[in-house]
Amino acid sequence: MALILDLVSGDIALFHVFTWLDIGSVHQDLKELLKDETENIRYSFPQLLIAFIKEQSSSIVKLHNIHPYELHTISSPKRENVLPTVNNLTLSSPSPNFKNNGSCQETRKIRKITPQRLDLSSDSAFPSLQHSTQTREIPKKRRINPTQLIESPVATRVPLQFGSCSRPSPPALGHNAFNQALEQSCHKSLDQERALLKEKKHQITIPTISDLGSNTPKNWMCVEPDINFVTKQSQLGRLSALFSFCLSRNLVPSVFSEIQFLIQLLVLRVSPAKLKQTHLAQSLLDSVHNCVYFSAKTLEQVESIWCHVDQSILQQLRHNPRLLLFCSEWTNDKLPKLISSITNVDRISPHKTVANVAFQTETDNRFNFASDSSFQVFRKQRDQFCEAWQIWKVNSSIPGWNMSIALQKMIQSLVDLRRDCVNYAHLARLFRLQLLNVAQLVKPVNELEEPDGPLGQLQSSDPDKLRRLRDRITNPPESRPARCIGTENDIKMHFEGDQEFFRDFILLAASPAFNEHLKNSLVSGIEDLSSSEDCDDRAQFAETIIALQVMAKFLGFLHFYPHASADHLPEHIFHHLSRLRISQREPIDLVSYIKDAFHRGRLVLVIPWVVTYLTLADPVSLCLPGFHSVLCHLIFVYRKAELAPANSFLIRILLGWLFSQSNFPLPLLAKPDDDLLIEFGNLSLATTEDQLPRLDQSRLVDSSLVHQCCPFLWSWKHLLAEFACSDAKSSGEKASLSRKITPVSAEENSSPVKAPAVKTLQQSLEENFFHNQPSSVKRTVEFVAERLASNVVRDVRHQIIPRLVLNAQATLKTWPSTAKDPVESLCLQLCVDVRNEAASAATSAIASLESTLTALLPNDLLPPVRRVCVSIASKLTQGKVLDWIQLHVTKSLFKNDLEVELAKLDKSCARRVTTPGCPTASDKPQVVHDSTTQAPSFLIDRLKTLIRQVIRDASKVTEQDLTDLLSNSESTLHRRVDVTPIVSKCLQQLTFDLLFIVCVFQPESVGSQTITAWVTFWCKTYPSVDPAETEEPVQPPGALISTCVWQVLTPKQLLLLAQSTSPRESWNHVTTLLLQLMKSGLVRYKDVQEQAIAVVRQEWPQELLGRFATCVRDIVDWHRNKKSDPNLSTAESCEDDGLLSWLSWFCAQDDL
Amino acid sequence: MARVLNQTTYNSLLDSLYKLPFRNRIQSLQKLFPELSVNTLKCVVAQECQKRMKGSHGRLTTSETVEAMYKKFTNSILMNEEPGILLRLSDEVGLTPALLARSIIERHYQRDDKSKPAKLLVSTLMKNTALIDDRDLAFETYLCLLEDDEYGPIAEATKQSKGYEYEIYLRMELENCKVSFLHEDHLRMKGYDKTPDIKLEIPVAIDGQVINWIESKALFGDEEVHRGYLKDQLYSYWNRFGPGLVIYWFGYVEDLEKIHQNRIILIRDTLPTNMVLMDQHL
Repeated sequence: MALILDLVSGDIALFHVFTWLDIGSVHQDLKELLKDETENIRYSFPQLLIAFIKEQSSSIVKLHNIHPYELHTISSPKRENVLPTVNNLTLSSPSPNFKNNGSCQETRKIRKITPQRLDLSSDSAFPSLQHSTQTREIPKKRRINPTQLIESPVATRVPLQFGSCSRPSPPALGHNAFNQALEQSCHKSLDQERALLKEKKHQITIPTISDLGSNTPKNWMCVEPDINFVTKQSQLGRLSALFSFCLSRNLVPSVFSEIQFLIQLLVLRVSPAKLKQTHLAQSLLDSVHNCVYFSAKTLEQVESIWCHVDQSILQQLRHNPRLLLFCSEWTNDKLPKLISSITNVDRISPHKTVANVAFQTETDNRFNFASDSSFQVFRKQRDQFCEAWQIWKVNSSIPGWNMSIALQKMIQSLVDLRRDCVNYAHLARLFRLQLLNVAQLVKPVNELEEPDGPLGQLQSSDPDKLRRLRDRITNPPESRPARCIGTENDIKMHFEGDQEFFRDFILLAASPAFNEHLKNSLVSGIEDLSSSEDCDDRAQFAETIIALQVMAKFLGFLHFYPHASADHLPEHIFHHLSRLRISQREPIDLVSYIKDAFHRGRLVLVIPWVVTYLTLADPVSLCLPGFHSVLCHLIFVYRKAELAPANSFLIRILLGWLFSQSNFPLPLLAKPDDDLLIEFGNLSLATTEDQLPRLDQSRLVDSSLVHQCCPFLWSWKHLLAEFACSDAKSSGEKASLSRKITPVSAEENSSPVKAPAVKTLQQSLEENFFHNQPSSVKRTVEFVAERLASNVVRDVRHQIIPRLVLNAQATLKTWPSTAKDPVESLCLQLCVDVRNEAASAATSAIASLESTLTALLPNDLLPPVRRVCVSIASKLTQGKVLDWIQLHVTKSLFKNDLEVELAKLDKSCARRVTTPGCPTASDKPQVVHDSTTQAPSFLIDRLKTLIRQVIRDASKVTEQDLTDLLSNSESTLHRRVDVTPIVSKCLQQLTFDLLFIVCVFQPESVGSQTITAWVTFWCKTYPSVDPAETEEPVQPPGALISTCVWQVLTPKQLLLLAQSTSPRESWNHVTTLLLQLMKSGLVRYKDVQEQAIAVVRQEWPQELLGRFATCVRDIVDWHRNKKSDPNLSTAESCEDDGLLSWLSWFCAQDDL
Repeated sequence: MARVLNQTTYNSLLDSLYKLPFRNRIQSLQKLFPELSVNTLKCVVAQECQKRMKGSHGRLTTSETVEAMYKKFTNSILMNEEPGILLRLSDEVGLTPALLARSIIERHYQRDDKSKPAKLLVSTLMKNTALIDDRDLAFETYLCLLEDDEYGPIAEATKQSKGYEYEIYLRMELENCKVSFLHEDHLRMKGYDKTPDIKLEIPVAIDGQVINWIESKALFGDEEVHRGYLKDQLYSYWNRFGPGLVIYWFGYVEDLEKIHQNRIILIRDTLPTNMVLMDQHL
């Protein structure tokens, strides 16, 4: 401490100090001061400096209006990380017991006191001009009760009068005449200052809506800094220069915390009464004036930081009245320029809704599951998962809604619906992808803009009150759904917004198997994205980095959650736990990631997620030996890594944030570089042939990404906004991004286990070949081969295999039933066939390689080089296809399909269902759809109506009607593609019914021509089934004869015939119809026999039987003639056993 | 002719429907609601009937009631009543003609232990009534099938046919509009677990909303129907493919879309003609 004081008040050129800090070389002047401990002190110097500044300012900072009830309201550690306020974090002890001290801020109105102009604004009866804001630290569970606020510690109803003692005593003034002189020389002209004050006064007297802040507490006052009262300016200047140097060079452990501290100094508010009561120790920073001066000067000098933060923070700085006073040049000139140079790109499109995880055939179809049941179950799991997410989204903001009540059952049942690794893996993947989709859309909660209107005004006047109101609406204290599970652990506080769903899903599912799979999925996701090549444009890069962060966060959650504790661990327990975990393995090898990233220049991609992961670590973890190395690596990166400015800012802010966490082991930070270097191993080991683009030097990071990765940076703005709330909007126009990201999971390694082949000469040749070509050549060749192989495989899967399986299924039907195991031998045959066809498919695919590669490879490649590329690509392609075939084309692939088919055959045999061939769309793919024809449903309707009318109402059907119907039916059945088998069958039945009924009821409308035409149509459309198949039909119970449509002589038909008004004509037609059907082979002689027997089982009027007998005789005659005519003798081998002749004779007997 | 109904019209349509006798309701409704499309009315009537049957079928077909109905039927045959016995019985008991006929057939063919005959046998007989051995039952059944628009093989075939016709029609329309898509058969072949009628390979926009799939429904979309489809199909499609479109060709009740909350599934009664395709020229 003394050293710093000496430095600051001495006259050693600061330049020498900087050099020493930078490279360690010590100037003579400095040597005297530092004595012999230069190296030791060098690394701890920044921390000494910080400690010094804090010590110097501690007494005044203590007076920063701390509210009495703050001490009771620290129950929620929730946003502690995100939004530290004046009193926590940097000022508090690192002990977890203390970290929430003063996390609550006053909500009193503040009347400023400008020492010289007290009387201008000190009338307490005057309405307040300004509202103070409250920080976000008000605990969720506490209703904000305005009456409590009146308990202001500062009893200041007494009107202050000019000249009263309320002005802060400027003790320093009298002490050092030299300083005083210096100070005075620095004074700006009075006019200038007046102008500034006027401007400021104008700003703050813009009336704000007082009724919205109706919980008006008493006014009180605070000391307004004045540059005229700053003492020891030169010492403060030197201190500021030293501090800003350490800040700019990242020598302090956490830039974030220190800037935060500086802003706290800037907005320091001390009541004059309090100041009067307290005796302040003499120090550099013992007055509001000095603190503000020091802070303003330092903030001004750390320009390198400001160009990376959000515009809205800069706007706050620019309009901060104290900065306006203390560094008018900066705020009026440089800051506006800086602001205009920063462009905020809004990466989230405004109306983007969260997309669901798209179904991808490559990863999600049946092929990716081991069995049908697994596939079917996952279909359910997928839908239920989406449903749960949807229910959460709709309800999570409803008061009183409790996720565990509403969703626990559903979640538990869906997660463990099938205890099978394949399903767990798919579910974990779905979970991860959905999480990533959601994460891309998260805007910080406080970034919502309120529209105009009272709320909009409130936003400008008291943003924090608005936030509290909003919170109270959406999350009433007793119903915060997120808090429903388990105890309050810090680790759960890292999740905000939609991520709470995923966190609670894990907790509610409580499935160790799922957690394990999820861990694997996250690790592999991180692996994939960390080595992602697609980081060329900013949007893509931002997506990647956010995705990595969110995956790391959940991985950290899964890993560290079991170790979380809400209590402060006593030392002995701490040691006990760390002994237990001494050899615990991390799920992910952070050291190798960091090392790798360092060497490959990809730190900017890797550090953010590593930090996120570590932020979730419990205190014990960070002290484990396994972590020691990780942390040393990070500190080394923090000190040494060279990146483009914005990239550097991002990773250093993040690392600083990590270092300032309460459970970070601080001693590590003072380690000298050399010690860290040992941990880092050989630095020069790097730069192997690597394909990945280096990112650290690319301009990929912008301020919106910085804020998205480090939401805690907003607390700077909150501090400033809270101070200067008059026209500050609480929310900036922070840009963020929305783009659906569908990370491709690692292609499963499809190559079967191969013997570890010795590297052949050819292989080394190939390696060398690529080594000496541009890296794009290898990438292109591998990519093309990969895609080509994938296309061939797709072809095999979707075309070749289904076709061959279909053939095989057909073969199965004709397979001799004597064969032993038809499925087994067919499967074998199929394997061979598929392999052959796949090989030829691969060969033909390779033919296109030449042209593809020519288009893609650098065009200055020598033709022979290109040829080599083509040959390597074709080799690779064939290899990949072969690998796939060997792995997948096995007997078991076909077994299922064939067995199902076989079962079907057995079943249909058992049932004796004879299905006449029906034309279907698939049977006649050549049909061109003719939409002018009548729709099948229309035709069915028409036929049905006609039949009904003929039977019931005796409506007339003309011969023309029948002809039209015939042609309509014909065109519908032959020229449309939308006729299903069932419909076709129905039309067959209805057309037959219609013709029969017209024959019976209106024989005059039917000519033999018509009958022939219809039978010809049926013949063509419904060809008769192969007799072999209908052999020996087993009669089902109920004496069902045959299921054939063409039933002419059954009881029902005879009943219809009995109703005929002109039976002779009717019977003639029916006989003709039957004969035609027989002639065309649609009805067999045997069928008629059966039908006739069924008829004579019932009683009939004699007249009807007589006609029946005639009809049957005609059939018998025709049959005899046909048999005697060798030309007509067809396949029908049915022997006439004389049964029908006898029946005919029998029925013709009058006396029956 | 309107196919899209607001809630008020739909309610008054249902009210009138409940008051009408079972037969020929469409003609009566046409007079009451001349502005509505006939197909829509048919659909609403059919769906009302199905809902009614769903509620009462079990109650009306207990073995006791079937036995009583069968007795009544055989009695009427013995009494030589006019044909149409089953139709009259149907009006009396409130079962649709085809469902009644089916119950009677089941009873007629009951096994020796009074258990029901095989389903396959019954459905074969229903499809081809000429195969029923009892001539009167055969004829009566046939009359029932001709009269029933909701149940029975002919009605089923009509319904199935309509569904498929509109699917094919939709495909044709999309082809005319040069929209590239995969249909159900393709998707099934590719191993999709859920298959909408149409999955757009290149999305299109309708009224400012991008859609990725289309489902065709040849019926009227009332709330119950729609909720059923949402649960079984539409949400699954949304979960997998994002926003989409369902077409109820015979109309729907307005404002059903609000059920979806933030899940975007458009509802239309025809394929919109103002589809915006993706720019594909370079």
